[in-house]
Amino acid sequence: VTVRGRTDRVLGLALAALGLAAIWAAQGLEVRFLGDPVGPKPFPTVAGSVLLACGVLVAVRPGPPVAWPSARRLGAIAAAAAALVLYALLMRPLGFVLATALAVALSAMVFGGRPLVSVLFGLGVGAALHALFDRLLEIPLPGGVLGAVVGPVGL
Amino acid sequence: MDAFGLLAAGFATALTPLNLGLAVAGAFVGTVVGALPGIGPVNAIALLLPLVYALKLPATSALILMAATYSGGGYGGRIAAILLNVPGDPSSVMTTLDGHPMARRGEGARALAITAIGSFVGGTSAVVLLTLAAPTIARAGLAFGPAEYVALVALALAAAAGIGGGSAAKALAAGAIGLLLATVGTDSGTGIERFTFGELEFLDGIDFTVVVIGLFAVAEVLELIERRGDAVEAVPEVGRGGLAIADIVMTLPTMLRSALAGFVVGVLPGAGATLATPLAYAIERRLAGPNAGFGKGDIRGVAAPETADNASHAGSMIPMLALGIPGSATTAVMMGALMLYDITPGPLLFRDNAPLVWGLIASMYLANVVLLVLNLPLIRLFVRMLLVPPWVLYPLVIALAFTGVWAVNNSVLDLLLATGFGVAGWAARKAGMPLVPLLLGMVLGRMLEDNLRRAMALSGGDLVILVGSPLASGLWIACVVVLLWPVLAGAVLGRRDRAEV
Repeated sequence: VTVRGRTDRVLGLALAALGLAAIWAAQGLEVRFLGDPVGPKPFPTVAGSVLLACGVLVAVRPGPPVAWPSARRLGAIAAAAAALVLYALLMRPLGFVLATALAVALSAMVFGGRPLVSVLFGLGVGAALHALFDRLLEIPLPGGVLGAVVGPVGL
Repeated sequence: MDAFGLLAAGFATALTPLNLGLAVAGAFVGTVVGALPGIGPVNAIALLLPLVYALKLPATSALILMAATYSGGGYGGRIAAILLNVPGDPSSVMTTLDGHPMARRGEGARALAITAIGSFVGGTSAVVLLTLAAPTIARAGLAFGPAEYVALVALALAAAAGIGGGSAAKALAAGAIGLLLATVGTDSGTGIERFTFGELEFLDGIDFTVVVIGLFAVAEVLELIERRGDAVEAVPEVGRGGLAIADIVMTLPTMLRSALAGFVVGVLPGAGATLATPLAYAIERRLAGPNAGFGKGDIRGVAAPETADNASHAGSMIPMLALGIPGSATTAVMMGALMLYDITPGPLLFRDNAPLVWGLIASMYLANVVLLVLNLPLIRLFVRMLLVPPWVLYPLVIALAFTGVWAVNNSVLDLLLATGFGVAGWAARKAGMPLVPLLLGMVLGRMLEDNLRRAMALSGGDLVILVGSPLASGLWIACVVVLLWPVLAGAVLGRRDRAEV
């Protein structure tokens, strides 16, 4: 469904609102030093004003229509975004390996992988990335439940 | 020291085992990522960023790795364009026009070979031009004070908005959002918090890596989920036979012209490869005349855009290194990476960090040789990358993106931010809002504000200092011209259209 210019009207208003919010928030910043006659306020105020002006311009003079995907595909995007949020939130409680295995297995199935293969693939990716980052590069990744069981020596 | 002495020193830097290894690795990874449908060099470099810091690579080595990956992406992008008719990024669109017809005629190998050579000619001649230009740039840089710098950054943002195509208002808005993102955190001038929402993790600002991985890698995966199930053509046979010497002789003038065109367009801030390839293609089609088979599989039609593409990559390093104005998303990411090393690209870089600049230039010569070797005999290996199933590839990108973001600060908030930027980046692309100005704003924001405040402190708050010198006012005039460019060009073209009717 494409309605001429509706995307740009919404986008423009959103940008303008963001600009206004930035301007408004910047007004609370009032510190001046002798060596710094500008202070922290004007820069975000000007940037916010540019944003506000551009937003209004986009909303008033919308461009050609934009073809948005069907509701089903939008649903898929929303589900994917929700899954990523879940991945983030599960990172600490489940631990890196299991959270990654879950996310990879799920998305592999979404892209047409067979269930069993996807699960194995997810576990493999989780373990491999853990070995690479946590062990080899010494970037600590959250251990989570698996870390508690296997202990600091594991994986 | 003259350019040759500096270049020799650069080769000494680039030929150390670490740097040479990184150039080879970057060239390989870049070609692979360029070949994989849907994943461009920006994503590769974004995902490399956390790795680079984790390995504690020196700045020069990090830059060599990223530049080689960038060059490799230019070589790899042609593979899917020719064989699948799928341009991996906007700059390979033109390659599909003649490349895919050639592949369907069974001349895939010939098209791949001539584009490998074209990429090499384009990449190498652009680096030669870069070598010759660098000392001049270094001298010119000395004229820049805070006021000139402010005007320069304004010009960069205006150029991204004006030349980039599409809606200038949307591009400027994206730039403004980038500037606002850059203000998040503790203000360097006064020490007070701005836009931190009381969140401790925001005190140091929003990490550039998080934004880049969100806007590019995560958004890309969302886009792929949306297009999931769209029919993909089967990979055609590469075909036997290959390139005749006559092909090279015939396309050499095309390549040299396209290399020059690509380099010049690449140097223009805000333009880059997306403009260079159609320009080179149009020039060659016009010169070849109407009887040539352009659009039906003319070998010059594949050589021209690929040569220009790679030449513009090298060209786009100039405004990034010399002016601190990245012309493309990839160079913006590289610049952000350098700034995390406390190295500020800009007019003084060539003087203060000459070893870094010359090491990079030398490594770009080497990377092009490596890429030519990788892309002629080993081409079938990269073609096989097209067969990697989506269910392996895209989950891997997700896992790498999240691991990379986690590596920055070990923060769940960063993961959520990256997801948010991913959704925003996906929607912005749909709505025709360019992301390069946002990256520019974010990368340049702090420097812009610092220089602005320094200039104001120098003048005691008098705004006239900003246009005080001839250089500064010249830059401001250029800024206005660039912003009004679409309007001016529209008026000129409109008149011509009416005249033709």
